[in-house]
Amino acid sequence: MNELGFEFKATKCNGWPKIRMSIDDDIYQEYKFSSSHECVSIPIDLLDGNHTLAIEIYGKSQSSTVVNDQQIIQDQLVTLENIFVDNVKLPDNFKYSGTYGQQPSCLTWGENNKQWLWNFSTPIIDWILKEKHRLTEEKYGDHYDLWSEKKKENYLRLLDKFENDINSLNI
Amino acid sequence: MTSTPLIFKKAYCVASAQVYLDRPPPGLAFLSGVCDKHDLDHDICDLNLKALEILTEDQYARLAEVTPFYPLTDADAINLINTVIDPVCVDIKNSGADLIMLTVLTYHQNVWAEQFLKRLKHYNIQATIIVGGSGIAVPQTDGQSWARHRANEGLIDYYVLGEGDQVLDEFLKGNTALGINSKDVKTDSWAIQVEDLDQTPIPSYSKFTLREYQRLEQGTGISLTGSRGCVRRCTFCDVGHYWKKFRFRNGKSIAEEIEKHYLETGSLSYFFTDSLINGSLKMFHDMMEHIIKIRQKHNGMPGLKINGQYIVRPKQFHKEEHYRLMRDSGVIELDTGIESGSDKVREHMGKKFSNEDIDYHMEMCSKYGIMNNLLMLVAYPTETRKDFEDTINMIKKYQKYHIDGTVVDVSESLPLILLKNTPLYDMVDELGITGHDRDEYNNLTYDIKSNPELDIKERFSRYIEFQKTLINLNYQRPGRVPIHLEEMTKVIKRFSEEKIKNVRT
Repeated sequence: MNELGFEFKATKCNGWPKIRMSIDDDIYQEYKFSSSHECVSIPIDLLDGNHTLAIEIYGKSQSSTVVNDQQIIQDQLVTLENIFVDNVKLPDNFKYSGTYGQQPSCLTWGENNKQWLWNFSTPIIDWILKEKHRLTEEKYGDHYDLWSEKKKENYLRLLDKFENDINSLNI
Repeated sequence: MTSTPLIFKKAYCVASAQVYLDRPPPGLAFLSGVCDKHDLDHDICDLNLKALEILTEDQYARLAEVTPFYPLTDADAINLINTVIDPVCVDIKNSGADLIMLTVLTYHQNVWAEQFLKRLKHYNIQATIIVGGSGIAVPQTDGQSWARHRANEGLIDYYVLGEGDQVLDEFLKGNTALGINSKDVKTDSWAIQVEDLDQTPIPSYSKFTLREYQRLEQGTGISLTGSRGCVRRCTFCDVGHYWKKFRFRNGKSIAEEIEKHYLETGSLSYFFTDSLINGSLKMFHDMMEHIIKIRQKHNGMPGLKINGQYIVRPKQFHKEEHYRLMRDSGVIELDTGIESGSDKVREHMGKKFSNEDIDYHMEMCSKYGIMNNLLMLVAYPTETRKDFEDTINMIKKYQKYHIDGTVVDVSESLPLILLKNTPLYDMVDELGITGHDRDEYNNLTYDIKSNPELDIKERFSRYIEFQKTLINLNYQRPGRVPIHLEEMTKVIKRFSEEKIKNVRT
């Protein structure tokens, strides 16, 4: 089992915002902020495969937004600062990979019942590391010093060959 | 500058090739520092860089394969080496240097060093030649040092055995000292180990073009030495044999050395040659506090990166403040000797820290953004299957730290190599280790009677299982793994052939 952690910033406007967190449409947590900087954790124990996390603000009323002269001067907002897995912070590109409605990379949310969706896979640490290596490979190519999926296959093959050599020798 | 006159007017300092090409040779910087200290006019030449400049990539790679193995008999390879060395000899001749100082960091550089000395002779260069560095002390089959042989051949006038820091001062003034061996003396003498490292000359990089090294792989920056020797006597390590006593500089002087190099070269990347960067906690903390002050003086020196080998200690020695100081001073890349996931194995090794201490270290490093290259060993002579599984479980547990770079790499070379001059080698009878070649410095194939389950096959099987686990956990693997596999295959095949031959005879 792993723990997914989210670090948020929130703004108050006639009350603190409330968020609902679901994975694959199953509600994991409903959370009401009580300060401007909070962390929320949810344990995940999912079958291996692809999943979607959704976070939405709910229960926002008209008084949660103050408008003056057609300008919003105060609002209940939530900003996602960081994502953690088992207390280890993920590189920033992971948080930017989610979408808020149709908007990619939007990390500040203010609309009622509009979802920020984040796709991930489990086992989650394996997925994160593969993504990380994939992005590095995309950026820097198949350089000698860099790890790649291609090298992974090659190394496993070399290790198998070495194992066969050892087993066939009289030692 | 010293008041005693020097007996030389101009020096030419040369570093042998062809290993450690990713960084300026520390020995060459040391020689340059000695010349600076005495205000001795000098030029420098790193044969690594010359080789890269003159040879094609293929030629360079071909030489890199054969030159680490002394002696070299391949005439084509020798001709290639000469194409690099000859222009250097011409330059030396034209420079008018009356002193040539050659540094040979390891015996893997002896081929280049010997060829360089031969070409100096060929060009009939009239200068005093002195060589130093660990590589020259390696005993040959007759027990005499490599340097003694070169002196007997008339290729060198003097050679320094042991720490040259202070004896070189004397040499430049025409004095003799223990450790300076002339070609006319038949018995080697070794320099007395320097007690006060703060009295040693500070290396100088002012004549180096550091950007030349940035085109090389993994430019690791400028090397520093804060201490010599070690505060541990880990059973598998031979450092205690060569450096009997742990000696360290004061932290302020190390910080000032970093400032000097920064101002002279602009380098923001430093690595410590010490066995342990935190061997002395007082020195380490003083150094970090002074570096923080120096950073403040120079606009924070953003990007400062200091790397060193590190020992984990229990929490009461490494409080949270210790990690904060590391982050703020730029000590953010550690080579951390974890070795095993088993407390029992680590205790036998003499590491003196527990799995709980490692957990705490990882947590702190993750919090303060400090990267670790975990140094691991498999198939230690007392390792049981359960101990090995503890190691596998540890790398599974720390997989999450590969996400944020707290564990940036896991380095393991081969199944445990039995080295001469180590506490483990002294325990061979106690552990029932047999079958090792007593003439060899490194032994990979041996039997352990006190732990019969860990036979040669099992040791290699554990190595393979460890590697495969790392790969399947998506740990980044170093490019050298295939080279290690190739080397091990050769060793094992040779061992097997000898075994068959012995059975037949």
